Amino acid sequence: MRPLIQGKVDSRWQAWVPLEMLDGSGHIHSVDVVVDTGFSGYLTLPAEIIRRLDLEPDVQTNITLATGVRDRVNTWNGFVLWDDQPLIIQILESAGTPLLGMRLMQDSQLTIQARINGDVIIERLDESST
Amino acid sequence: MTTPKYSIDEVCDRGEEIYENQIKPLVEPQETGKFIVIDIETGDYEIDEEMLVASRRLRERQPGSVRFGARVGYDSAYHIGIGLECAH
Repeated sequence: MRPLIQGKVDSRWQAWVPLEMLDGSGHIHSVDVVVDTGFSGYLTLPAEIIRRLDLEPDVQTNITLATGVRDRVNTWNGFVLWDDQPLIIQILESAGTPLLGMRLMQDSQLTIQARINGDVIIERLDESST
Repeated sequence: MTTPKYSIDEVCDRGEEIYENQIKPLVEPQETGKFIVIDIETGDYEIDEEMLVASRRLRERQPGSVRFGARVGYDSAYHIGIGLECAH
């Protein structure tokens, strides 16, 4: 397996990785995000980062939060560098900490050393892995 | 940035209304779990495994459309954090 991204668990027990994103002009920005296996989408970003990246607006949609409450959010299209290649993804606008969801990690393996300063590693699964 | 033509509540309310009244009987249950994107002004829609792809196809056909996204058979397109979620 090839490592895609590597990060660390912080003192609040959150698993952070640096995600490289392209802005509307093609410049690379590094955005620190928390891995959230309870999030079924690709990525959430707060409005200020969406503005900085000059992302393209897309649909508006409903999401369900862990409390069961439904919310309505704007979505945006943006590019992440994933496996060294630009990958277009759907980004949900949500205040607070940026979250990296399960959909972005499809065909990858997530390894977390669950201790403070432990490694967080996302690796590309080989095609032969099942 | 231009002022949006509709508020997010107007887009979602209208999208949900079109889905319930016009589209749901045509797509459930056979498309359950896929994503649907609806043009809230014309009722035109696209379905795909990826919301982004459905939206792009609809935008190619309806440039400038105001679009609502949903997951067929579910109350919301995505969930953040683990909660109770069931298909209809």
